[in-house]
Amino acid sequence: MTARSEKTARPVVRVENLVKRYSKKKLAGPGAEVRALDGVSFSILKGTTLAIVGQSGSGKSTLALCLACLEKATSGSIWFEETDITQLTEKEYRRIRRQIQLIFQDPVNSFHASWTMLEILTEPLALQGNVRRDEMRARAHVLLEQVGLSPEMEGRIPAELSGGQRQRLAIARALTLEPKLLILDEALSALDCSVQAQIANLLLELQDSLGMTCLFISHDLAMAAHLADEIAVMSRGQIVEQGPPDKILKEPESRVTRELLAAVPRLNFSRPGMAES
Amino acid sequence: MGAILEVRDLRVTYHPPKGGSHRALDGVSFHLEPGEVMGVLGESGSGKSTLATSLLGLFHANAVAVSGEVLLEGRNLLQAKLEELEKIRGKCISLIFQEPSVALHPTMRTGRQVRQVLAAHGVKGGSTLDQRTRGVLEMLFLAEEAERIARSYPHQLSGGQRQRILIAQAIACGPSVVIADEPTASLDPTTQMEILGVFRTLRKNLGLAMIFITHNPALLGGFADRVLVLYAGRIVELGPAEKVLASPRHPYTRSLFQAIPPFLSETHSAHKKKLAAIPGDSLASSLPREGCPFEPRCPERMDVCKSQEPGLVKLSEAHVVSCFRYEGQE
Repeated sequence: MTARSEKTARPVVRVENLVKRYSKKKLAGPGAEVRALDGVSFSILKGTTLAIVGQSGSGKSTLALCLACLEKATSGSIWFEETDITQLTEKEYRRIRRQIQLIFQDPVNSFHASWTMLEILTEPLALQGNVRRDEMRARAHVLLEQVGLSPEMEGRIPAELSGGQRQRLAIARALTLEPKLLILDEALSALDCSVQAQIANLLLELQDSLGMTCLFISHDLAMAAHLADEIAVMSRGQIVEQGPPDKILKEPESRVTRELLAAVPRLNFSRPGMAES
Repeated sequence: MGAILEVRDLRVTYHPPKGGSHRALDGVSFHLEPGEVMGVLGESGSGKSTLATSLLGLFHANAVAVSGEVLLEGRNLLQAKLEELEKIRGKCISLIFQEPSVALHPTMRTGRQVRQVLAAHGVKGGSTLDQRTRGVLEMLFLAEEAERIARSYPHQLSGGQRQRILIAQAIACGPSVVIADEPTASLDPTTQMEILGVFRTLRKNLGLAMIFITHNPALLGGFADRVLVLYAGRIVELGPAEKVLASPRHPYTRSLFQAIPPFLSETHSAHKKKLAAIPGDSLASSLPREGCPFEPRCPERMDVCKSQEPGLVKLSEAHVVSCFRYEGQE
């Protein structure tokens, strides 16, 4: 816990009044406009996790794409350290993108199906140039160990991995370029409960050892509350409530938050292991 | 009361294209009473989806060895001819798949997709079909909404609405058993609760017997009558829901529950602490080996677990567990 209290209040990311509109084209007549993000503001301090929760269609994933420079915001600004990344040119983007890594829900579709784990992990390094092959391989092995995979597995392809192993590989790849911000868009949702716990533990470990700053996007309020220092609840493109997990869970103010809380399935009995010991 | 569905020593082995063999189900036996909801808990690779499809006599082409019996109202579906099965599937026993966006025909209006199920099972006459289709949809949607939904294509509906269409197809012909394979996995939590509510209502109104398959134990509380826990194709625990969910006995069931992040009551103290994850991987357990399949990951393993496979131990009339720890306590 000391690591966290030492943190100075320096935000890695500061989002100000971010708006993203999509135009929905129709075959005839004027197209409708969808406001995926409608004036979103927040900041994430270095070494902390902000969780964004909300229902499908609340704008969570659009936010992730805007932050990862994969979508251009309509207006507003995203300050990443000292740079407003909404104002960058495509060439300048490339320099920033390596510092912001994104992990998706389904890693199967984000890997080249016939590449080995080694190829997947060294590609980001190779694209940066100036790194020797043996150095790349050594770096890949360090990363594999960091995420709890064995370097002996380097020759396997994604199809030969379990869901949890694939998500570990996705995290390893995201770490290759030592990003300053890790965005996890429903990264645990497709996994089984016990594997979710393993990956959640890995994220906590990495945050502790690397001081990683994370944006955890999820519809699972229980997991968000467990992992995050702060939770923001989104609905219809806006943040309707924000605060520390304890506050959000115990004194929810907005209707949306109360609905989300009511929807968390609970094991409505005493937790096993507690009563018996 | 006699069981409506009885499964006896069901074994299914796959031959993966890469060679070798994989035992997806390895001697599963249980029964389902009329009107009962059986929750099946299992993770990826536990055999839960193989169980779902096996109960309808559906097997993947590389399922090489199938043995045992699936008795639906006394008739063994594994021995039934294809023509017989086609009459039974969807009419007496039906299956709701996980992914409604894949299970529905993308370019056919949803009302017609429900109507086809009825037509396939011998409902004749345009107006009768229309009427029956409407009746089924009105069980799942508000009457004023049903008409519009029936005319919509799947992509025009929300995930929850699509899932309701799949449920409509499953119950259209009034089956006595419905199997739902992770029916809420692809939905967000509010919609998930909504669909669970639909299942509750159907059960109350139609008296359906149900097998509800999920990897999330929290979905079964207050819904399932009994819970069956599947690991590596074997039943590790089976018992009344309140017993299994409140005081699980098998080390696997216990570990599984502990891996879920605590909510509300202990949030403060446990926040950002490590969760009690189960070490290792469930895939490793499917390799043929001696002893208990959970032994490599088990926090309570004993010497005997390495060499011998535990049988089912009866803890009470209805609660069985497959673990050496309870042997001699019968």
